[in-house]
Amino acid sequence: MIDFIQHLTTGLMIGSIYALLAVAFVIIYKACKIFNFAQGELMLLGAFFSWSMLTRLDLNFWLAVALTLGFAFLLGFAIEWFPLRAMVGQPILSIIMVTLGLAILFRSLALALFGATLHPYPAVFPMEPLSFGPLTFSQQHFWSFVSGLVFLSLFWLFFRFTNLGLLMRAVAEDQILAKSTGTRVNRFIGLSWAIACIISAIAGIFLAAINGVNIDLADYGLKAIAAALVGGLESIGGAICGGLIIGAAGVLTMAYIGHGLSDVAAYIILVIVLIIKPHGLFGLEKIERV
Amino acid sequence: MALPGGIFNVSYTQDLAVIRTKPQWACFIIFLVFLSVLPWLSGPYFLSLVSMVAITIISVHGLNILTGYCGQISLGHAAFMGIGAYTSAILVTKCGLPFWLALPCAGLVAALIGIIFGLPSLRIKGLYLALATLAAHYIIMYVISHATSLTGGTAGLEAPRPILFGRRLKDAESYYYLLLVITFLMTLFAKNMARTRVGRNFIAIRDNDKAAAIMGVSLLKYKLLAFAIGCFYAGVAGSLWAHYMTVIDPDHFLLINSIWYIGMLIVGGMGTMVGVFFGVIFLKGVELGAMEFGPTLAAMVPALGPAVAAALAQFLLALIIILFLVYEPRGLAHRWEVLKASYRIWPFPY
Repeated sequence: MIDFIQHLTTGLMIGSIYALLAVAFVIIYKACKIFNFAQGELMLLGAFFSWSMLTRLDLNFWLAVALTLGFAFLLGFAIEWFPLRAMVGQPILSIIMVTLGLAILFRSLALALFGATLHPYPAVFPMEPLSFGPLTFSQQHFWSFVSGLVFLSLFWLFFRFTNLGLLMRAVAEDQILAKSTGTRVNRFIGLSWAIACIISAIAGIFLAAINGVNIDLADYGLKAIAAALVGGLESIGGAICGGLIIGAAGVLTMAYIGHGLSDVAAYIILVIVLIIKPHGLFGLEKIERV
Repeated sequence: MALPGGIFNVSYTQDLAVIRTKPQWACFIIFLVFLSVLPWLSGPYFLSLVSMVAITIISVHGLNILTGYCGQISLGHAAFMGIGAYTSAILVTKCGLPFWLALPCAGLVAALIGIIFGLPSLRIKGLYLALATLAAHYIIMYVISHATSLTGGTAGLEAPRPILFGRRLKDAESYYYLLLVITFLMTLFAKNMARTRVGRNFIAIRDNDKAAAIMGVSLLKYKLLAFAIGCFYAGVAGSLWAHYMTVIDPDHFLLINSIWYIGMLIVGGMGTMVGVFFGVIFLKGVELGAMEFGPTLAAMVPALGPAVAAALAQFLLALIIILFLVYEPRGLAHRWEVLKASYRIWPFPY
């Protein structure tokens, strides 16, 4: 039983990273109805950027994080400007392919600049594990979980209580209406991309601190999309739940079934959820008109 | 289809003809003669490239039927090719079946599994379907690489060159002719299927599936039929690939291949026959050019490291796909139509 709780909580902690990525995916989807398949690659760029700040330029950790977040902010505006602004309202396949194209573009850039080897990330957290009664966690997992929660609540507060957050929600709700009240819709969609990039970069830094930096880090992105779909596309709470479910499922299958099944556990859950509830656990059922 | 000036259909057979005018027949026959004498004109390296292109064309034809005509997004096409490749290799090596029987069997098995993974398409579409087929990719490749007793896992599986008419097709030339015949037949079938009731029903479903259902198109039947036909093509292409490579392993069927297949469709032009050829030849050509130029670039800019050669092809292909989606979403096939139209009325503006 203790074993099970241990695996479950570790899984939830890893799941908090999926939750961050899934939230980024949902924010973009809500703002401009674009499915961002490059989520994992945005995270990869954030991870590599912070890694090169830390190791190549020997910067202080917090300075490196601040620079990475600034870089992610600009990157978000840049990719919104080209090619994604042209994609709003295009057929779904075009949107999927543009973001998949961006994903491969970023991945090949990272491959060209950093190679395919695993780069160890400088130790950010102390090595000795934390213990709570019978449960033990590595510091990286614990702190990524805690700061994941902190960031998620910060973004929730931002969307709920600030003027800017309200405007962004207005743009997400109805672009034409927002435009008619004088809101600069493009700027706010760009801001959504920037926020999503920042969230991805944060997730990237945590993942890099846990596993080291490598091209394959980007594979987390596709699982995060699976998490967003499990939760339902329209709901940020759903994305968080989906992320936690996918994370826990990965660790539990690794512990109790093995045979590399944990890599596909996310997709098996996705197929089951799509068959039972095609719009995800918390998604809105769409009414289609001919 | 627009006809050249001064040519009119006066009978039903003329209206139905794929190749309508005498100059078209001449071009077609010259093209076929050129393809059949190609082994004498080119070296074995070029011939192997043409063979690869032919296999890819068969596979992309399947994707074109599924995605281009019926509008069902599939990110699992490479995995369905993998199913065909492994089925055919297992049937030939472990069950001793002849190649000409294993080839359609590979297609049928891929079609069957395609139908299973196509079932969700009745309830979901768009992004959800894309993710369901992505899940199909990972699940299929997981099974292939873990069923080691049957597939050899990551160690790979042997698929001997086929024996046809009592003769083993060992050299590149004979396999090239086999590919030529099969590609021709598959293209002919795809072209004609697109013009029948089935093809028109696919197009109706693509344009609006609810409206199609109201008009009496059975979504269950035709969506699953699209998955079956599309995956049948993938299976046949996979089988041909397996016996061409003679050794296959799960790394031949990666997600990125599925993405390239959709990219070829987009660059060529979705839902057109000629687009399949344009897209495959254009993107394969770019890929090849990047492979050739990659080491030179790596030598010229040593700061980038040796991985730049591998990254260059991916970078260029992804960039081309993005640019096409933004600036010419209808693909090269549309440009070709524009060119033909302006050529026919030249020198007049309209």
